[in-house]
Amino acid sequence: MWAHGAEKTASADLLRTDVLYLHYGGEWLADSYLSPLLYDGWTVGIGNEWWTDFRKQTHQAYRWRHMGNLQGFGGNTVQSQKHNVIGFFGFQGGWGAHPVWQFETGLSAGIQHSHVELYAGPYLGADFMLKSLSTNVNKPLSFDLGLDLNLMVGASYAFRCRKTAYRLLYEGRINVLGAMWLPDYWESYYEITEKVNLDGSICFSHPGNRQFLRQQIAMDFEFIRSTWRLGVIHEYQHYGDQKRHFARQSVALSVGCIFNYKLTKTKL
Amino acid sequence: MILCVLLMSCVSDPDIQFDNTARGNVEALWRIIDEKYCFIEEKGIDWNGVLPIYLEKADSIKDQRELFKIMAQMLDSLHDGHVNLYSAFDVSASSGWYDSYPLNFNSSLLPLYIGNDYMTAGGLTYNKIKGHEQIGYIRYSSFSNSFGSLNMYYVIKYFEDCKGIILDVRNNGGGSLLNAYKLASTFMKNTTHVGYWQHKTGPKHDAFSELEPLYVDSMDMTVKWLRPVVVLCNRRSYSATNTFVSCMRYAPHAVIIGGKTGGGGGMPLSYELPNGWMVRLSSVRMTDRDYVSIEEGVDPDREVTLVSNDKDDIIEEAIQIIKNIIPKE
Repeated sequence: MWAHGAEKTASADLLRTDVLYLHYGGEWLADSYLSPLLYDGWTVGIGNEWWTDFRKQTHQAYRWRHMGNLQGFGGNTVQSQKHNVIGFFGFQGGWGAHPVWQFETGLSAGIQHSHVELYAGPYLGADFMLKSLSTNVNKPLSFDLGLDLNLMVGASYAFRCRKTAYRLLYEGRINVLGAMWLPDYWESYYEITEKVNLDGSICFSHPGNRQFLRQQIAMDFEFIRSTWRLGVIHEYQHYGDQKRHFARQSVALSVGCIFNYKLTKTKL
Repeated sequence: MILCVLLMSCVSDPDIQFDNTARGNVEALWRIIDEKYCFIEEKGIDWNGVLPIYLEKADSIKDQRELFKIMAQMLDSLHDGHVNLYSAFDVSASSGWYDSYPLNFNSSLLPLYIGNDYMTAGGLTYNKIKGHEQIGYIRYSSFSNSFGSLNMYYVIKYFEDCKGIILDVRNNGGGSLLNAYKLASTFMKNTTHVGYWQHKTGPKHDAFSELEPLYVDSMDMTVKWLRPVVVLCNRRSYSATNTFVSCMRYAPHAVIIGGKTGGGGGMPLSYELPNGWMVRLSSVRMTDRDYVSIEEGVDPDREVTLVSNDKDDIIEEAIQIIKNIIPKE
């Protein structure tokens, strides 16, 4: 049942796996452009993650796989005194490619096969998040905008237990370099939007001035003739300089449904 | 899980260095003003001298209302209408900037001039002056009320036979700068340089960005009035209205009469205190195109004071100005 992409169904066919998931959890926000206070609340989102092997493979020891992710999310946060609210929504998307090493780990439960996969590679990701603190005067909005080349690593362990297939997965990525939006702490929203004064607001990012981490731990399992995912997604980002400080963290429970597609190469 | 907890400490903001106590909030308020308020140097305020006075008061505070009161007093020493403290139970406001000036506006006198059959387009109330049908009158009471080209088209169309119009922005406390530039654009044929602005770039009192020129774009309002316009203002013409009046000094057919405007040439931004209250303060300063700050107000071309009870002396003066203008051949 596992579609690792490597399982060729025919000489020219590949399997593509999609995970459609929902997540809900806690969110912590710090945005010194909007407020010097820490806000916390909830986040909810929907996303799609997919992966498949490249059609052409050149090495026996590992295979190349590419994957993508697109998710939208939104939520609401309040500061500890409950006076003001920051509402937010955003999108994340990206594409990555990596070699996958698969290791057979022998027999499981006496009969079924199990294996471990390890992978690591580059991932090009973009993220956008609009935040609104409506009570603010002349700077009611702020947004995170980043385009990063990430390093992605992952490991999975597929096994069978009582005739049911499971896969335990860990996946994480961190930013390496990119570009980001960093508004001037002292600049009004009017100045940014109407005068389009963007001096110093878009800058080169690296782990020294921006730290981005997204990781998830999940368990895929069969349930009533379908495959499901239950996991936890943790996201953290922090960026800024001595004057400006932006950070967010979310920890969310995700539930997803997994679909496999056969990609057939057709000739017209 | 451990990683999440560790990273949580990075999410909490280093900007918050003060406790949520009376003393902590007073210190935070003082620091915010010290670092972010843009007129400390220009107004010659001894802000360092303010802190010990209010810290001492903070130590004896018993409840939130008392804290609000002393923090409002602290802000009042800035004499700035753009400086306010917002809590769930009250909003502080400085009145020192207009208290010693004549009112120069009496809304009960307006029906004498525009009757009760006046019209409203967007935020613009308008009619022809009763008994002087060749003069139009527009009252714009808040720059927060938006209007568009279509609104202005109908207003100008209604006045197409008029020799001039009176534009009354007295007691207009401001609103959106966009509306101020849009309204000014109605009276300017060409894009016009009207001043400069600069924002703070750091905590030092003299840390400002380069002066950036400000223009009224003639395309902001495609409907134009290029005949005489008399702008009426008073001390309560504040903030965006103050900026509008400053811009109108460069409009070719405009005359400004009434009293000195209230100022408020600093665009306000807001910040939160540790207890969640919000403080609004001037953070961007503006000048006219001769680099003169407009924070303390704009002088009219002709100072006229409202002294009568049965007529509006300022509107009367405006009528005479328009009537006495000899049209150019």
